[in-house]
Amino acid sequence: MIRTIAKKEVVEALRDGRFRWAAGLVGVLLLIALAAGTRQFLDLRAQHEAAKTETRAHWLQQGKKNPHSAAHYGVYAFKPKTALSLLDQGVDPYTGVAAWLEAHKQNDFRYKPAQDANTLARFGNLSGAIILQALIPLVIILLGFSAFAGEREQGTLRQLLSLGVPPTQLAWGKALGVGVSLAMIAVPAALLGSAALVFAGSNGDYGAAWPRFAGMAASYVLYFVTFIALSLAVSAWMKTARGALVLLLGFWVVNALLSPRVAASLSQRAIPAPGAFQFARNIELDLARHSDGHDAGKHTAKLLAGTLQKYQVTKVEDLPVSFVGIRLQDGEAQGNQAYDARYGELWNQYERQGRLQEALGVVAPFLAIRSASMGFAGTDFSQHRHFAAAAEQYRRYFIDVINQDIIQRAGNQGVYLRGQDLWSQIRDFEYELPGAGWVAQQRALSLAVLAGWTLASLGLLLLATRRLRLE
Amino acid sequence: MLQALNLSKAYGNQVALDSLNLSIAAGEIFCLLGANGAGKTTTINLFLNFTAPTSGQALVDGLDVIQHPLESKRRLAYIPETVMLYRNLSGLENLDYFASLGTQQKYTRSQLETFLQRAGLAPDAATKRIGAYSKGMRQKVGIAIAIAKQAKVLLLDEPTSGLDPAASNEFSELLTQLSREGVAVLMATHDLFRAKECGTRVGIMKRGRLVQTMATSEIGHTELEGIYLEHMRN
Amino acid sequence: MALACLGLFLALLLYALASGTFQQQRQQQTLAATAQEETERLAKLKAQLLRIESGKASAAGFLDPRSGTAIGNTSGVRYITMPPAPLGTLSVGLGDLHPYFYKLSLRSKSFTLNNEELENPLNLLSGPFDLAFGIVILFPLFLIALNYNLLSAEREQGTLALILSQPISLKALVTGKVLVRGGALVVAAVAVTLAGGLLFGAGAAVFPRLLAWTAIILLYGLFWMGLCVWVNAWGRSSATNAIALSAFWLGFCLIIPSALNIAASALYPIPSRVEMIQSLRTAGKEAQEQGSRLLSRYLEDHPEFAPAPAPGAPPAPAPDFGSITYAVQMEVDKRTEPVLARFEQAIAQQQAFVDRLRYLSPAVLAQGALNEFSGTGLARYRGFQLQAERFHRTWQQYFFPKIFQKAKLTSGEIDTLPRFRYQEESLEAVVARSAPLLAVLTLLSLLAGGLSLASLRKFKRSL
Repeated sequence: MIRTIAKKEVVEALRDGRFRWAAGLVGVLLLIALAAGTRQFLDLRAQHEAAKTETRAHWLQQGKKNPHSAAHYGVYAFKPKTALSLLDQGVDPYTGVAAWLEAHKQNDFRYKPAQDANTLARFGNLSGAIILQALIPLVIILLGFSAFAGEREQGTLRQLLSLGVPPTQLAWGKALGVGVSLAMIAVPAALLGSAALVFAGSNGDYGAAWPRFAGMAASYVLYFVTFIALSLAVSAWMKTARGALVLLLGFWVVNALLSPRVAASLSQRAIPAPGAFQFARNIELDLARHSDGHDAGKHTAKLLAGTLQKYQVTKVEDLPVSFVGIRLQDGEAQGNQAYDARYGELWNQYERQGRLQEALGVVAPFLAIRSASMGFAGTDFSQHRHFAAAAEQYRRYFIDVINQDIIQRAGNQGVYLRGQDLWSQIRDFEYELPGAGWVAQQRALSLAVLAGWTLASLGLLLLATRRLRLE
Repeated sequence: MLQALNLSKAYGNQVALDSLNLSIAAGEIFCLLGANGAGKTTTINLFLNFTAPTSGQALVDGLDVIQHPLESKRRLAYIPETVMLYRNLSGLENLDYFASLGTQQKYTRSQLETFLQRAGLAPDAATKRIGAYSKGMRQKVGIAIAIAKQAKVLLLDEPTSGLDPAASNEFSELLTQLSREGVAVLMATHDLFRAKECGTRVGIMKRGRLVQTMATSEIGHTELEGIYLEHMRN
Repeated sequence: MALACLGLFLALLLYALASGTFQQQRQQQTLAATAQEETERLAKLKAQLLRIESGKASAAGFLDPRSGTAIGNTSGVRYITMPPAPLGTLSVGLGDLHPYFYKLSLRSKSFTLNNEELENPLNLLSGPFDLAFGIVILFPLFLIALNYNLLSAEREQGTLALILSQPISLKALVTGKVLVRGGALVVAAVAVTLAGGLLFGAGAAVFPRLLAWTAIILLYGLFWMGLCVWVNAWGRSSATNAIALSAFWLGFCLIIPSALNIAASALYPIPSRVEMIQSLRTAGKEAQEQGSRLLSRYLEDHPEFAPAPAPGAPPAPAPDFGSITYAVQMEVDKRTEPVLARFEQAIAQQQAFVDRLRYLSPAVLAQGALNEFSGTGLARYRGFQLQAERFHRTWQQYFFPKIFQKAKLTSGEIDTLPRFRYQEESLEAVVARSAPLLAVLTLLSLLAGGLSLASLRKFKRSL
């Protein structure tokens, strides 16, 4: 029976001009978005790989110089692109693409692509994610709003119920029908998406893409099922098709349009984070405090006294190690302490803002699917942080290698120069993207909210069909 | 086949149906007459279990419609004032859909065509979309659904109002045909002439009460009209 | 229902105003903090120099506190700041992505003018909830919600024929209905705008800017009301009207802008920042390697800046670290100029393409015009960027000769260090830029109005 109902719903949808237009349009937009996304991804990955090679070459070929000079010259860490980012760019346009790793300082990621984009970009980037998160729900609403209310107005609902069709079966049949109609847009797109993914990931992707793809697909299925059940429930509940449509469109506006901006503005107020000036100033003050107030000389004197005592000598010249190196390493340690504290604080604030927005997904599932989707795509803030932390670890590693070299070999007199043999001792920066399990853990809140929405909306549908009204 | 036992329905203080006792046997056509709001549609809705009675029982083939909502419906067919069908589907597709939902079985195309033919629908009309159907053609699809279902009971709610005399006559003949095959028919109508012509019994309803029942074979047209108007007057 | 709609709209606009004001205040606090930090630092520097000049403190150390390098690069640097936009509280515009202050240094332009505001990227992705969003995106939705069934509801209830049998023209009926329903929303939008502008507006020419906002709201509202009437005159069901109007909204507010954006990125791709970083680095590396040669070349060009040898003294000493560094910085700027120029040109080309095609969507037009009159449009930020670049050169040119001559700055000079003064763009410039936007918006509104009236005549004939 469910199959018969579903089949008829699909036939009707296919004969409805409104659906044909909407589905055709969304299908075409999805194709364009996929094509544009793939192209952009391939470009960016090529650039990233070239830059990665080049920054390594620059590092190796910097010639003879003092190792500390080399540490100042530093390297750039370029944020890699995941293949799934062609579907969902997430926050990538709003985080910088590269961080300069140099001595003394943990630098921010610079050059946000959004800053270079034209003024239309902020109107909404037509990415695969936006289509899946905002436009497909609209198609679902279009398919579902009249499912019950329309039949009620036409009078066919009486006819159906007089045949002894159980209302819940009717609901499942209709849900299946909407699902199948939707699949006509979604399945070709999903196949093309997978093809693009295979193509894009063909020469070695960062991390295993498939478990992430599965996680992403599952999240979207939950999201779509929620919308299907919700549309049918409202259609069963409301008297007229018009009423159901207006209510559903209203929910769509709140969900896809208002919720992200309101959630952002609420989280900015609830969990204030410092601006660039305040942040830099805080670090400046911290660094000054760590080096015994503003009197750097006093701190150095203390350090020297301690070092001399440790090696049982009285003059710098007699030290078996380079005091300059010790001073540099000591500065690093203090700096790291300040940077760890301040960046840790800032990033925690951002993560808490993000979690608050995930929690607000209880009101608008858009917030939950957005966060789950970019999580699996590898383009959310948590993974930006993960990369930034890895880059910072690398910075500390290579500065440490250099400082140890200075401490052990530079001595305390004369000019100390090193060449490629030292530069090549430092391994290249390799980054491993965390796995899908890590993402699921990070985005557990969103996934729970999505599952909750799915269950609640199915419950609502059952409730509404149990009390299906005829007039 | 169709039985009402002390069947009553009240909406708040408003009594829509007042202890109706009625029994319609197989092969009988019972016509319910009465003004708008007399309780005819309420009676049909109660048999359909579209609304719950305040007290009493409605039985279809001996089954209480509340206790056996689905089994009772499997035995009946319902034809409203206008049979409502899906505009984007053809007559054949509509019949296919409703018949397979009503009987849980799949019919072949030729079987479906036979049903439509028996209901009197022209073969070339069957594949046209419902949007182009006249009311009479829709009612025929309704009859075809009943035939496909092999319904033992037909519930008709003013099925001929708005039909032209020829179409109305054709419809009555179909009903007579079905009743001859053993179907019990309950028809609410305003058409005294039609009731006398094809009904076996008529009942007159007034403010929710069945005030008089008589066999059509025992009275003439004018007599029926006289009795009806008499009831309406006081 | 209609009152609830109006109430909700008003509530959202007020929230948008509060949210925009919050952003604006954060900027103001930052600017106040930079000013305070600068004043305190310069006062401290002056006191230190006074102590040195009076012999109470020594100038010894890694870097002489009086040197151009110390002052021009750290202790004496000024901030380049742009005051908040006159109506920034109404429209955040590009303000959340584009910098409004820089801290000066003597290093290269690409290093110095590379300040980015810190913000949670998730919030940037969501975009600001400001009044401009309320008007460009939400206002049409509310207009649609109130007007989608102007005629269809009457027909579905069966009252249309009854009304039209009265001595009243269809045009008067529809115009009356749409103006009452839409007018209430327009009044709400204008009232919140004026209240916000008068309470929190700052700086140049707030009144004419608010006047322009009002005009844009009226024109934009008129456009959508005309569209509502036109769709109603098709004579379809309320549900179909709602779908059609939602489709128009989606087209103008999301699909057209995004499609243009995709086309722009495909036709006028922006070279990669990753590549740019690499070219800057290569340029820097090359300049570095030639460090001392660059300085001597510079001094050949500018012999007046060469440190004067004492009479009878040995030949000039080897150039010092500071001099070489800045010679290199200047060379880096010179070498990276073409890379940066290519980048900026590509961005400008893409923007020009988008600017030519933005007339396809009244939503884009309205957003552009609202940003312009708020002072948060692209042009104002570009203007600030150019002024900042110019001042960065001024700053370098003030200090480099001092560094090359190994001159010591005096405490008196601290007060006269070059100071950046932002030149606010004139209202005429804003008007000139927005005039085509306003003209086309007017045209589109008139078109929608005319279309709706014409379709009503046809509708009546079909009755």
